[in-house]
Amino acid sequence: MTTELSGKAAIVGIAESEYLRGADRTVPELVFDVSMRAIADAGLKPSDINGVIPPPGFVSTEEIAANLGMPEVTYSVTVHMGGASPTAALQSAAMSIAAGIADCVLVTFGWNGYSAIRPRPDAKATRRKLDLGPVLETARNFYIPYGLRSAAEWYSLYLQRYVDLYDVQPTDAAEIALACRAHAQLNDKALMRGRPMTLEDYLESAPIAGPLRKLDCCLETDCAAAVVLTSAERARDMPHTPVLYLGGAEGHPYPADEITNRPELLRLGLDFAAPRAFAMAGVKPTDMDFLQIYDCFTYVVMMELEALGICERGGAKDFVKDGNIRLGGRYPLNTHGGLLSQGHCWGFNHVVEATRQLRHEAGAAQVEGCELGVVTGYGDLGDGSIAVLGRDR
Amino acid sequence: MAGSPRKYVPETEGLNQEFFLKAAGGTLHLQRCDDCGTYRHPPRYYCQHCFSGAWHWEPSAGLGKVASWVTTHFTIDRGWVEDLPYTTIVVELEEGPRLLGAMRDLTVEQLELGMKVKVVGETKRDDFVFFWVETQ
Repeated sequence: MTTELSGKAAIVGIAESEYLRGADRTVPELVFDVSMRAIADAGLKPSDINGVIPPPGFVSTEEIAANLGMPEVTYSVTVHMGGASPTAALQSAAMSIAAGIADCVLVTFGWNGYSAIRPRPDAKATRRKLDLGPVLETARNFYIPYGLRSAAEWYSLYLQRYVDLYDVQPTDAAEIALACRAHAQLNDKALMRGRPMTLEDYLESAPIAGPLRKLDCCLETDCAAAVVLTSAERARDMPHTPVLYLGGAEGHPYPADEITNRPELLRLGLDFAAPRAFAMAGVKPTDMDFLQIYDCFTYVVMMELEALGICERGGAKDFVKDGNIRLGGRYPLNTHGGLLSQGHCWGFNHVVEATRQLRHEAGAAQVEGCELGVVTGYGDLGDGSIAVLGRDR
Repeated sequence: MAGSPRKYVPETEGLNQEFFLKAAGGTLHLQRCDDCGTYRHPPRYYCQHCFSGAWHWEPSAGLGKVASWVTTHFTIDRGWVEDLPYTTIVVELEEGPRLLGAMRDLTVEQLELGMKVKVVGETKRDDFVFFWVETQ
């Protein structure tokens, strides 16, 4: 299909902000800062960037170009897939590079996931907000009037079915939360560093909705991250070992804007996307040396593992056992702590961490000798994205 | 409940508004394709089966069976805090489409997949109807 895209582009620059519950800086300031640092990490100047993929909302390509100094932008696009946006954006960046439309592409995302909900008493009002777009029109008419206002409640509409059908126990999902929390203890930037979790903590945490407890849910966070991509050829002259974009895809459940009338309730966007991504990359899910999986909720991670094809449908509860997803295990998962324990940067922190791993610069969390890894994204109401990344040889 | 925060009532528009205007007349109506006869919900402009753009509203008795349910124990919606824990039921109507509503005159312990229920509308505004799910 589109296998000619495989290996044509590479991630050459990365940066992330602190992960905060209450940032001193505005979202545009955070986005400008991580963008400048990602460009510098690639050994480039802002004027070298001619492709920009901004976050859906908060700050525009035009403002990024004007504030950082990018006199000629030849390509810009905004991906509206909720939390699946950053990982899906890598494909647009790679395509624009492979097609010769852009040379160096900045992808950036930032938000006030904590402060938008819990502003400081002295916080100034801002017009800048997330642009979720019309995808939530169905939720506004048919879910929110019933007190189903949050993602935890919406996704419980199918997570409840998932746990019932496959007899998934809280102690199974707990391993996702515990692995992420354990890995966060190695990460200076993790919100939950210094706050280890036990199985008892997990089981005692308050019920939220459906099968979800509080410790199944990710963290409200203020943060930003950015990556820079360029051609694989040019990447080889840059400061860091290139991390190649070997394959990727986006996928959407059907219908994507409504959960309850889906003919296949448990078929999410990633179920559509993952086979295409692995085919493009020419590798198998079981070739992966680590898994950076979008972990908005523990049970969603289990469904994503099955969508990847790394285990069978209903098999995630066994897959995660016996240290398999811990550092030192066969498939270390969310080696930075993930959305559950590092912070919620729409999965862009997963892309940054995957890049660090493949550069062999992941410090105490390094997966020794890793060559291949996968990143997933997940957005309302079940959209999926995936990137298969590899260390350049 | 005086002084408690109001529950959200959406500003409706387009086909969704038509759906609620019909239901506000006292009878639930579902979209039905003129060409292949397939019912659909939520409202759509084209039939997902035969792609026809011709359709009409057909009255429904609101009878169906429990397809799934979710119980909420914690909410960010101030209008629902006093109702915690509350249960939302997905009903598979006899016509086929599924519709979501709030549990009434039932307990979670009574719920079973496939049990017969009916959807009853409560008009909140002329262009919005809230659906309750009760025993038939």
